Amino acid sequence: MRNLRKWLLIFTTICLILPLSGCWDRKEVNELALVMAEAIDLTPDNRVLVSAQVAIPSRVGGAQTGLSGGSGGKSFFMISATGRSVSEADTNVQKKLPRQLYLPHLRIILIGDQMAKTGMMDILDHFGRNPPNRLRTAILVAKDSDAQSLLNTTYPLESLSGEAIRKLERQLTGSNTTLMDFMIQSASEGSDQMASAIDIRPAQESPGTDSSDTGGTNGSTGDSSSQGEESEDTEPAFSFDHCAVFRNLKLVGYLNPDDTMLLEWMLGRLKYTVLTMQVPKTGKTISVDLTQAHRRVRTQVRGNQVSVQYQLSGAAMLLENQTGLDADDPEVLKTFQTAVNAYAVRAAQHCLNTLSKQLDADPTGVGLMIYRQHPYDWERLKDNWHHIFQTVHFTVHANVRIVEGGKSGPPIYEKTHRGIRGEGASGNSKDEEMSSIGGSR
Amino acid sequence: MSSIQRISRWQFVMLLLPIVIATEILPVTDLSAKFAHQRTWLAMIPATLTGIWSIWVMTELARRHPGQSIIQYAMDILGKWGGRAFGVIIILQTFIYTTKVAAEMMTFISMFALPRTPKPMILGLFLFACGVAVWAGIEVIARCAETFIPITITFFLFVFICLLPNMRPAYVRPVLGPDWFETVIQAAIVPSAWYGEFLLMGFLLPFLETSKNVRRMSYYLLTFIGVFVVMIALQSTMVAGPLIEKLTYSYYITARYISLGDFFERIDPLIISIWMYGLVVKEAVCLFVFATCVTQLTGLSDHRLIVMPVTILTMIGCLWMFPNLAELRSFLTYTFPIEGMVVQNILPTFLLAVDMLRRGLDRSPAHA
Repeated sequence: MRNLRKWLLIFTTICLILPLSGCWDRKEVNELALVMAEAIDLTPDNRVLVSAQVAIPSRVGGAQTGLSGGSGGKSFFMISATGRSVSEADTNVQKKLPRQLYLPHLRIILIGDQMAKTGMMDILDHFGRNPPNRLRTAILVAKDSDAQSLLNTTYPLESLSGEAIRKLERQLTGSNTTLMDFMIQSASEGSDQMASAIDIRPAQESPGTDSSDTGGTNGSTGDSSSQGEESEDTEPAFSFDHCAVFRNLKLVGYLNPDDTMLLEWMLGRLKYTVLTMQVPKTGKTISVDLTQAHRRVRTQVRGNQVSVQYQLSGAAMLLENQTGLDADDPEVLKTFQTAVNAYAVRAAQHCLNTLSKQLDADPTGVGLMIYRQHPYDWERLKDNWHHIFQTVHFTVHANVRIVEGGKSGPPIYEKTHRGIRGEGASGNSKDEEMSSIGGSR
Repeated sequence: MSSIQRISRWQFVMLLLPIVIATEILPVTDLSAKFAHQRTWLAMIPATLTGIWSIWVMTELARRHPGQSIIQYAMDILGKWGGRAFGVIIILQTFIYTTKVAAEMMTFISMFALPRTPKPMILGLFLFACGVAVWAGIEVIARCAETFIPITITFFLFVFICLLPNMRPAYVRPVLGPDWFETVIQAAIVPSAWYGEFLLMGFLLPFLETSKNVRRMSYYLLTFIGVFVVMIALQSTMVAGPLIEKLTYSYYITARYISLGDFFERIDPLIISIWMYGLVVKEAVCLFVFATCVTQLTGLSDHRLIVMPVTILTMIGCLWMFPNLAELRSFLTYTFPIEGMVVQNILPTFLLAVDMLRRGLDRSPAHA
């Protein structure tokens, strides 16, 4: 009996000691430096500059409860170092930090313009190989600037500027381009890469300048992002308009806002956006809120001649109607619908033209579509795909339905025309909205 | 005495389930994707053929020799020395099982969960837990399996549902294409070896309370495993697309990708621990079979005498045979399927053929 008890004691002791071996990998929260965002740049002497945005936990919490991050100082600090590779730079950053760099919380990587132009291979390898990095991390490009200074900007609403950038992209397109997406684009047959581009603009734009710096292709002033994040002073703010187009993982150019939006649409990534376009014959504009954006792609291969048909569809609601026409009239709505579709087709054609003729990059994945739909033909085409891509014939059809005319039918500021338009004009606008919503479901 | 212990049919199923699932989903899907790319899920279907074959042979042998394990009836069928030679081969095969499973566990845990902990420590702890279970006998392992495996399966289904928003069915296309048949068959060879591990049935069947409907039950189990594995392959393909063949543990990487509403994220520690349930059960079963093998071949009275040496041998073998991940992956891709085919499928079939022949010869003079 005593013998058994002794053995039991020894056994229990061993069992209790065993869990201690986990201490090799212990990570106390107060020994960690949580990296929320990283900016990766290329220095002029071809070294990688990694700037880590490390959260200061006490200030992050404080910023949420009351005042904005500006009052108590920044809720993050930037720390950076150079190296021959991202990992070496990380190690050099670590040398300046008393706490361990903790990467699993990294949510955004901002790539400097110069880095992106030189090539993304090394960066992707680092993030695809180093186990703590998650592929959910969003990847963005700093348009025409270095990423470090961009990330260093404080932002009034978000305590962490990295978060602000990430949410900005998601808020406008409905999703983030994650590392996984980017790598998939890169590893797929016949597809080049794209990522959203962020640049810095003054938060308050003066009346003189046009918000859209592209000169409004197709006569439209469509600029889905100029909804103006509020800011007390004229601090610079991030703005997301453009997207960076890569070819073989090297940045080749940026697309203007309209093209960006259409590219997202044609990739099937767009969830919602606001479109503004001119209505033919009236010379005035309407704005619609596009939701349920979908696209279908059909490809045909005949010899070396490839033709691609895009079918864009979606449901839209009228947001603004400058034409003064009565949106209750099915005929008028039909005109508007034609205008929206004509705009979408034109913009899509423009986007595809820019991509195939100017940039010679294929982020829409036309090659990938051919690989999926005609795998046998692709074997033949893939070797000189970039030559064939320039001769691809694109057809775009748009089938956006305007399902709702908004809160008011006829222009709300107009005097009612009793007797001329009868019951239609006197209809209660609330009822109108309800019935039209009911009709669309 | 271990022979007194009995397991129920449900426990038997739960013991066999992790044998394929626990190790197949993490390393194997990616390895077979190296050949089949986006058609990995298709490759998982012909792979079950070895499972059908193995189950048929093992249940047929068990029907002919009830209450005996494969080592015992091999001695009856092939004679004393032939049976011993056969037994040694089976022992080596179970040794490969134990080392292989331990190595899969070790490389995964040391990469993702405990990078700074020395590998022998991880391995030692894992094998200690399994060794204790083996010491306690098959009943205890069966009860562990009964508890853990349903949790594991439920959790894997949960992960699948959470990943639904991130799945893009287009990544599976093109289903057919140039050389699709060859690539699928090539890719099916890798997972086929895992289905051959139903060889372990030869040791578990004697412990079963009733041998009624065992074959039908095993086929149901195989169907479930097949569907499950196809589902896992589809999940990885639809989330990671062409990356599946490049990622070392694509299942884990895709599960890490889960993000529901920006706050339900980073469930990877859970995945590791729940995957460990399956691994512990599988390793325990393999170790148990290894120990039983040695016991029965040497004529020892109790498998407990062997548990400790066998566990330590596994630890040494694991560190010696698989010094790095590349070695392990190359072994799993190129060596194990061929070797497994010979030992797991062809040898038992040979045993069955000899048995049939001998019985036929025995019976025909009796009738005459």
